[in-house]
Amino acid sequence: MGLFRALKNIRRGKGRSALTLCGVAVGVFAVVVISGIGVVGTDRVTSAMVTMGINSALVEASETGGSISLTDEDVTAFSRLEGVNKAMPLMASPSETKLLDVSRDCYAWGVDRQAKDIISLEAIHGRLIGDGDVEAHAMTCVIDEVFATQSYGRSNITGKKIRLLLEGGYYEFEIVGVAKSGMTGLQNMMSGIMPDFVYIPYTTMQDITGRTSYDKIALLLDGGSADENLTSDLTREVNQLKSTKSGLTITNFQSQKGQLNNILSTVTTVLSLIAGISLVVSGITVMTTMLVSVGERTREIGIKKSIGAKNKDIMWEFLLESVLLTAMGSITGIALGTLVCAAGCIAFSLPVAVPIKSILLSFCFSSAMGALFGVYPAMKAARLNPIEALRT
Amino acid sequence: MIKIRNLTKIYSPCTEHEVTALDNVSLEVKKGEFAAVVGASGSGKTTLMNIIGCLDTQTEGEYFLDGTDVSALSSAKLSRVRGEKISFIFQGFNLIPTLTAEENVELPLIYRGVPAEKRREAARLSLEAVGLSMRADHLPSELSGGQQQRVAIARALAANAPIILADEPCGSLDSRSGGMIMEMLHSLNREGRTVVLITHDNGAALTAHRQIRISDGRII
Repeated sequence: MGLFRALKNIRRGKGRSALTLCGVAVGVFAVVVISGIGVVGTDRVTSAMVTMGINSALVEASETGGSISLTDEDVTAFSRLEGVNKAMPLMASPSETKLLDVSRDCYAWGVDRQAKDIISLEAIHGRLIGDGDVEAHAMTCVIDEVFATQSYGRSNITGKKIRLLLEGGYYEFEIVGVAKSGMTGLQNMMSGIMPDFVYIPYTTMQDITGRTSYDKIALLLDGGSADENLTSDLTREVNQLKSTKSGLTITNFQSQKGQLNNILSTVTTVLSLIAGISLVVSGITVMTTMLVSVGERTREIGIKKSIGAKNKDIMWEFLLESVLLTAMGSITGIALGTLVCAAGCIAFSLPVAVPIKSILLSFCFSSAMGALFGVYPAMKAARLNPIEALRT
Repeated sequence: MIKIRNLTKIYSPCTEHEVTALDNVSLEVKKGEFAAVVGASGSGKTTLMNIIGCLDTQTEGEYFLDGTDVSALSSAKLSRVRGEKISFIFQGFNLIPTLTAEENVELPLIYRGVPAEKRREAARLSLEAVGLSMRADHLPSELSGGQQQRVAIARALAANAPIILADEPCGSLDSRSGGMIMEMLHSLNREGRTVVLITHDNGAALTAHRQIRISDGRII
């Protein structure tokens, strides 16, 4: 009954109530859309990190332990550690390629067939480096999609020859496959900074460089268990195996993902707070509306008091009205905001994500705002002197 | 029922606008009595009504309502006394313009916490008693002055308060409607309610059991 009467009173000042409602709706809408963008953005970055190989880790000599060399025995030993699924030797060398007589900087990687799982290499044309290539010390290579497209204008260039500068001499390799660029969008954005990647059998790399040891060992960690603790446990264990104190370090994408997520959520929170200011503004609008309403209904308040309404009754009547007004506004804002978020996701063909947490938060926040800014007008109404109120 | 002793009301005391509205007034209205307070405008009769109706408090003196010292009550208790013991009938009707006749009649019961079913029943019966059952769903603006005042009387009936304070109830009505309202007040009195009529109309005052004449804030 009280709710029904409050609704009736809101309907009385139709135009004014509608405008106030719009104000609240716009504020809530802004918060919902901004947090929606935040949620979608975080999701995108996370999925990009997964394709980058979120469960991969890299063991390499730390700056202090320059003389440590990694061997086949280490690869086997590391692969048997708890939490480690697979291990693969990895050699890296900055290089230069000549393709169609155009020279460009690149980074040559010596890998084996496990590259698919461990560093998330994925062939879009041809094949990846296989056991046959490794055993035969073959002059075969896999190149980046971006590299292929930039050189030939198309991605499928398997069978072409490429010249790689290693240890001061050019060696000719046959392109057997084109790999999907690891970080998709991210790598595209950073292609100016990041060199192109060329993958060759690690045995071939050893032959050319004359080295028998490896620079790094890539590990595939058990899915889901790749957290900070595992990384530090493994670091201790690999150092024990090589009888050094801190000669080896492990780099894991997990910690980078954490950092990136932290930055993203900070940005989202700051933006949401700025949008939250609009909620405060709408709270003030609610207060103005309610004050005008109290002014208009002074006589009514006097009548109610003369027939036995207590200050408390009058106060609740007005408070209920302002809370209801803001609640209706925020529901409208949430509906619009969710709709826009969903439409945006569909338009950019992203998975639809709804910021449930911010929706609930902004609903509670704006309702609390309605109550807070409704208190003053309601108290003003409740404290009216009945005689003076009746005289108006 | 109503016992006032040496009551004084001064507006804006100790300033140059100081006005003594009531000066050392003493009066008593017994249970079941129909008393008329008669006086010209500005004589202090409305101030007296506001004080009797617990809408205002005196500057000096004593006011006992049904044996309770009203000046000692808190604002919330005063509201309660108003709601339970006193019903007002004003010259300007004082109905809430956005509520229907029936909703207006129900209103005092809402503040008393009476459940909806009982409220509606009481409102229906009260409207029937004043002959306005057919107009229950009409807004005050759709009713004539006489009808609006009958709704106000129905509201007093529903509230079932023992005291009815009528402040110029026929002041803005034609003589026929005015006569009807006076007749209703008398019948309320016959049913056992105490009625205090405040008026400047001698003719109406003479129908009361007793006339209390007031002039310049004093009873004469």
